[in-house]
Amino acid sequence: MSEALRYVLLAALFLFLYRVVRVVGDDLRAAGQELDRPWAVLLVEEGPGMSPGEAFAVRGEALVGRGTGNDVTVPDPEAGLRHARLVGSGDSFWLEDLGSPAGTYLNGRRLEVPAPVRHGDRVRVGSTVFRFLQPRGPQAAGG
Amino acid sequence: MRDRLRRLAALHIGLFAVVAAWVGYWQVVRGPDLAHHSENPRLLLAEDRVQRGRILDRRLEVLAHSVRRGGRTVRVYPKKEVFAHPVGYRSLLLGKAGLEASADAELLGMAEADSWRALRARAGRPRRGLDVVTTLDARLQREVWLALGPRAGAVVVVALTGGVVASASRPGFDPNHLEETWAELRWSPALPLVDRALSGLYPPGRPFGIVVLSAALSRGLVTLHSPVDCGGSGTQRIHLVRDVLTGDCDRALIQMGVALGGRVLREMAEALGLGQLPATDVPAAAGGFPELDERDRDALARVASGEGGVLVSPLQMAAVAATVARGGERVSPYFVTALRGELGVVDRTPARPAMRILAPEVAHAVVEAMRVSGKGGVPAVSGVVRAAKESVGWFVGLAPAQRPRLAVAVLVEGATEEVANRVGQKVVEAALRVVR
Amino acid sequence: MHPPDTPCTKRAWWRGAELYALALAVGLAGAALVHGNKHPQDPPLALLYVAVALLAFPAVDRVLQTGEGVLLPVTALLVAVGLVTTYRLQPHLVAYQAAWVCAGLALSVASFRMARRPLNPQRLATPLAALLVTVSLFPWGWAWVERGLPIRTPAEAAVVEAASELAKLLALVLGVAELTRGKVRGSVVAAWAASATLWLLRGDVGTAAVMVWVALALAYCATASLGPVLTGAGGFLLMAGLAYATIPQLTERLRGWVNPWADRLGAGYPLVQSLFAVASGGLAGAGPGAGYPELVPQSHAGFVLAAVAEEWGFGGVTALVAGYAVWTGRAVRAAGQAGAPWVRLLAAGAAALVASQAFLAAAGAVGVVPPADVPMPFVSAGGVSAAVQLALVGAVLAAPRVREDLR
Repeated sequence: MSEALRYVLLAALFLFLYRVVRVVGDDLRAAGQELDRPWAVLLVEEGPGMSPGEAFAVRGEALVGRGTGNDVTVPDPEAGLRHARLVGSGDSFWLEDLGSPAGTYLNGRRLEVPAPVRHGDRVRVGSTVFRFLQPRGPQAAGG
Repeated sequence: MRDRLRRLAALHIGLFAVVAAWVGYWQVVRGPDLAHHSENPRLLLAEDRVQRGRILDRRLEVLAHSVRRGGRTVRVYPKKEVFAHPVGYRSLLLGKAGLEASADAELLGMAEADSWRALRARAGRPRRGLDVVTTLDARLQREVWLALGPRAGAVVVVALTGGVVASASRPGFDPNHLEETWAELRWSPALPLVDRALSGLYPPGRPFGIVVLSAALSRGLVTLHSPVDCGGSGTQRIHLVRDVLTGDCDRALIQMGVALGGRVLREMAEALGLGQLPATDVPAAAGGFPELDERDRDALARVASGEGGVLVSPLQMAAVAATVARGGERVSPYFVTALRGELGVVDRTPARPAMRILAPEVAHAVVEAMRVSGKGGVPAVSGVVRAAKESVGWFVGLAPAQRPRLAVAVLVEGATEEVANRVGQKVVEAALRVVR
Repeated sequence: MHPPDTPCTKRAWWRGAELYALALAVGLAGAALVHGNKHPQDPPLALLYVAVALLAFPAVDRVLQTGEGVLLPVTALLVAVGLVTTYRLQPHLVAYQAAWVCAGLALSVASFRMARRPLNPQRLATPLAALLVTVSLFPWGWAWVERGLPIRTPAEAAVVEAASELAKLLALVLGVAELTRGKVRGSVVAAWAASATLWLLRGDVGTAAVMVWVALALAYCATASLGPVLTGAGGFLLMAGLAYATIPQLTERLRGWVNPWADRLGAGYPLVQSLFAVASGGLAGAGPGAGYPELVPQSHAGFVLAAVAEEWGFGGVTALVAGYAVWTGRAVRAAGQAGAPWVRLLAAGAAALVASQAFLAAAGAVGVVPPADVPMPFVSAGGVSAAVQLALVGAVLAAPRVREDLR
């Protein structure tokens, strides 16, 4: 019994390390590719339970919603569990509503179909307002 | 900033790598030596998880056993100081001695005296060690102990087998209260911690004549009936070689030794086990035999009279006498006869390869000479010799008088030949009474 | 331009939970082994405490939603090792330790929320410097008060421990407040030097070394110049050398470190016993509860690595040290993602604070550096240190969220 437990202990310890090393390795590889992928930031302007100035990095794809398991979690009762998503395509990002009852607003207009977002746009999810920042995005460079 | 942070992380991770490598060095490379280091207290502690076996005498009387007392295991020695030296002791603070040390692996129930790793591998499951059955005889040991004076040692060996039936040394100590009395014992001028029977080394004096006579007879230098010149004045009684051990004729012994030469004497002494570690299962002293220059007749004469750097223990002298009594086949004394466990008994009597040291006629002739010199009816040689600061008395004898089967060696510190002889006779009587 | 047609990624709910489950498995298996080997007759309450403390980690992760999937699980693993070791060496403390871990996690949530706020800490530097010196004086003051009392208070050790932890934390926060501008005033250097000297005078080289280490790490990150760092390190080594030469208790300790085998029953005793314990562990160790780490003096505090090495073996020690290395790397990575200089410094300094203590504690136990009685972060029993370090974890986790540069 205690022999078996000892093996469980060592196995759990090293399985843990193995998984951690995998994650760290993935992150390091991702950091290497970061320059090629579009990245942006969602900066909180106002929202329940959020402090203005708080930032969420967005790389590739980001889910926004109230539930856990999102990349950007908003502690906002009006937001849906899985509310919206940002998807990188080429060098720009698209905002898509995921069928939330309260709706997703881009610059004050309710989103019906996925729309491209530009540097400086306002994104509202429930009652939480973000500013979308993509300093090296195409629009920012253009304008 | 990024580069600086990267360097900061690299520095710390590098330091962790150094620590891991260093731990690996101590744990894996140096691990085995340190884990078995004599000062690593873990071995003694790991033993507490094993119920240590008992030490028994040849009639299975208990000489040492373990008892649970107040939540911890205590080693109890019911015979107290009588068996203190041969049985020894086991103490967390002071380590182990005697049979407790030499039969340690068996008492712990380990197949081989390997490491505490083997012990630890079985930890958790309470297990019993093996009982060690010895050749010692509790009754005889007590009688020998009582016969000895305040500072003395004695050994009784069964001549045919080499089994040690008694091995006593006085003063003794009570191994049940060793830790409390350790300081006092350690610094006592009477040296109670020294086992005079096994580890006490003394010049042999006249009993060394057994060696000289054996060599002379083996070489054909003399026969028992050759006349010898014992010097002396007045009545010019004719002495024969058979008289040389009596004490009246030490001069003839010395002449024989000088005539034989140092090399022959050394060979015979070593063949009989002097100057060598006794092949016993308990630690004992080797003694010594001096380097001799063949032209230095004085040194040779001193050696032939059992002085001049020859050092022997009572155990070794008993083994010499036993070899003679066994008809010239070498006797190696031993203590452990068997191991008893839950599964049965294992015989541990050492194999006795026949190793002839003396021709049977020579051995019989030496016994005859001892019979002549014996002053109490049994073949014996006694003598007195100047040791470091005082004289010590010796008695080396065989019993019974006809077809001897027991060999006895007694050493009494600060005593005359008569005292040693008297003690020796008492030991012989007790041995004959107890060991049948 | 077309909208991307990539499907919405599905994330398995257990994705992040796996590491916490493994840490919990380590903690429970270790505690069960200790229970079976050492206290089989007692009710296994310790398993409950371990489970509660370790389940608090995924709960905090849910609340914070950091997206940093390694730092908090690795902390949970280190805490698991620590709780098992505490149960092994000081079984009466395991409930307190678990409670302190939970309190520390609550603090980490608080510090996470606090660190996200935009903050201008520079005006705090002067009061922080004063506070640092005051805290460093506190053990002296306590000793002075005790001399006036008719009895000795049992709290002295706790007071000194708490003061030491606070001093280390304040040295960090002061450095962050001062160095955010990229330069440092003489008065702040003087405060650092004075408090380090106060700790050296008490014979507590460990606290002084950690304070100086953190200050120098911050200075390097903020100013990029090695000159002041080397000057500071040299000055500290000089002071420490003086302390080792003049304070008898430290001289003794140094002698036991230089050649422990020469005086293995005296000055070298702790280190020799520690090496015996390490060596007796071998590759796989005796198993928690099956060794003899109590033979090593201070095995619950400064020599805790010896206890882990004996019972968890080289495998366990490697995992533990690798855990610290990963922790440090991830904390520095979080610092690099921070978008405000002060929070970047805070995260980097927190990494240096934890890493330096882990290194000094581990290295001291096997004789790489002189034993300095530094508690092992997250592992050594000690309520205040666990709380302080977990609070720092919260601040580190908050660092990537602070993007003042983008406002």
